[in-house]
Amino acid sequence: MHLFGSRGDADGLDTVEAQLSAMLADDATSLGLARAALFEGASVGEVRPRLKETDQRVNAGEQEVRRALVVHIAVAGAADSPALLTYMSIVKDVERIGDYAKNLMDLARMGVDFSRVEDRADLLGVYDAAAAVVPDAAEAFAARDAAGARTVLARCEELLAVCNRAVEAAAASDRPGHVEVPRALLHRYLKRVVAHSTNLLSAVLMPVDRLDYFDEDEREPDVDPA
Amino acid sequence: MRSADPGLPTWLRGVLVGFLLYGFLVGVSLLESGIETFGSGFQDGLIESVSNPIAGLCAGILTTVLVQSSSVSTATIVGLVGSGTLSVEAAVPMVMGANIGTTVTNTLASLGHVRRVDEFRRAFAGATVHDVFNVMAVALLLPLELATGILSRAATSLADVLVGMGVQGGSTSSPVKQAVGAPADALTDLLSRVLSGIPLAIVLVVLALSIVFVCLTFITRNMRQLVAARVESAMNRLIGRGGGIMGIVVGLVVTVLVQSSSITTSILVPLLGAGVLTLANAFPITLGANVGTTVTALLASLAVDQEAGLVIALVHTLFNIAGILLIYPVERVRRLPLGTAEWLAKEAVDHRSMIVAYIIGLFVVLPTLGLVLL
Repeated sequence: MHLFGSRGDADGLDTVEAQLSAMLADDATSLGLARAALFEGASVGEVRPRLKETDQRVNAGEQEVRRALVVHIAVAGAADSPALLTYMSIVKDVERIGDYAKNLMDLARMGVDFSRVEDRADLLGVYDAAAAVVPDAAEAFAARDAAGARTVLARCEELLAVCNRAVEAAAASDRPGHVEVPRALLHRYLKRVVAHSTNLLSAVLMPVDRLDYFDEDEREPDVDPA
Repeated sequence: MRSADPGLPTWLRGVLVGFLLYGFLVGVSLLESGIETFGSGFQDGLIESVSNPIAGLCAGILTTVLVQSSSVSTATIVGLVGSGTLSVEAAVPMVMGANIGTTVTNTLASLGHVRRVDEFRRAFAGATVHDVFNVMAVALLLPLELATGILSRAATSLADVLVGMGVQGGSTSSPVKQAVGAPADALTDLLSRVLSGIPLAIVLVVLALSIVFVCLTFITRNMRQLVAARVESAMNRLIGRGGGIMGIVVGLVVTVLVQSSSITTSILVPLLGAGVLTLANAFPITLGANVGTTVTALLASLAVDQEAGLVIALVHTLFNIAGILLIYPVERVRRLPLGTAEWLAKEAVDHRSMIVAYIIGLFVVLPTLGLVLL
């Protein structure tokens, strides 16, 4: 139990931070596995069990974080309440990113294969840009880097717009469903991955009552309105 | 995002705890002087008032409920026994009562969950399992002690060994006694220039109890800060692995570190309420806390004149260990306090008036009646 040893020195919230980092790393792994199945022709039967295993770890991590937060408040009292509420909020976002990676894998399981389609490069470009947001948001969150968070946030906004346009285009397209539906779902899932990463970034920039809600002032706080 | 730690540096807090511990022992030594100043009439009266073991038990419960700390009440009992005012025989039921009285704190803490039914049921069960266990332990061990003197005889043998090893001075003046006795004597001398007789005794006892109370309060507060991260880490690991013997060890060590079983058991209440800790896993932590809290009386015994002070402190420890050995190892016996606590919690949820009746009845009315009538 290390009550006297050095391993006991870590604050309970340090443990929570470490757990969140591990979950985000698992999210990135899951997105990589889904990418391999959708864009590189990897065998779904081979990569899906690995993703499932990673997802289970993420789900267990979410429960561990929640338990650790209850333990922290029981032991240390309410002094860290804003931080605890923030962790409680973002752990759900981190878990949801893993869920969307699973949804992306499900597309591959349903037979969707973008590895030989004409627009592979475009689709992969969006995919990689969205997947790259996750570790970058994690880094900005871990370092509480406000400037870094704003930079990643700007990329997120562009990606959200790209995904929205793609879904709208699919809805208005005359092409058959088996062509447009997978693309619409791909963009929808990637949009959610980016949106949940945005929530993670909001924890760096926003007070607890405005988590997940940005306005222009917070996005560009260093710009002098004059 | 996280709040900055506004507290003292760790090393300074450690030094502060050292000073507070010294202050606590000075308080116990001063208490001994104050009691001696009352004279033989007071001593006889005190012995008379708790000569009935049930009255002694009730006095232990009530005193602990009033000061909300078994550490303070048992340190006071050690002072009384160590000064020769109270016999070990009369003090045994009192320390057992202190064990019951201390459980009121986490029972009150569980009331914070009363507006959420399921949460309250779990929290109240977690709090009352401590009450039920301690009542059971007293029901088993007090008659046994009265019939055979098994605890006090074992404690006397152990105390003889410890005195022989120089851990406690016995009738001779140990270095600890000398170190804490000097300021206590100086304070007594100072006050005796302006007061004498009973007024002096009252001032000394009030001052001593205040010092003991304040020092223990601040020891607990500072130690809680010092070991919070370790306690949190231990709790997280324990929740992941379950309770059992490791739970007893964690409860014991945490309580020794924070010098308060109420802190340990009150930490468990929100964990139980939230459902992250089960009653079965919280129970052994509670038992460890029971043993851990006896270290305060053992520390107090270092500051008193007579070996009997150490004997009663050891009786407190042995009583709690014996309670665990009798109740915890056999599952069917262990289920008794768990099942009773679950039943009490269900009744408390179904009949809210029962909560008030239970708390007032067990911790105030019954001990008051026992003290008045016996």
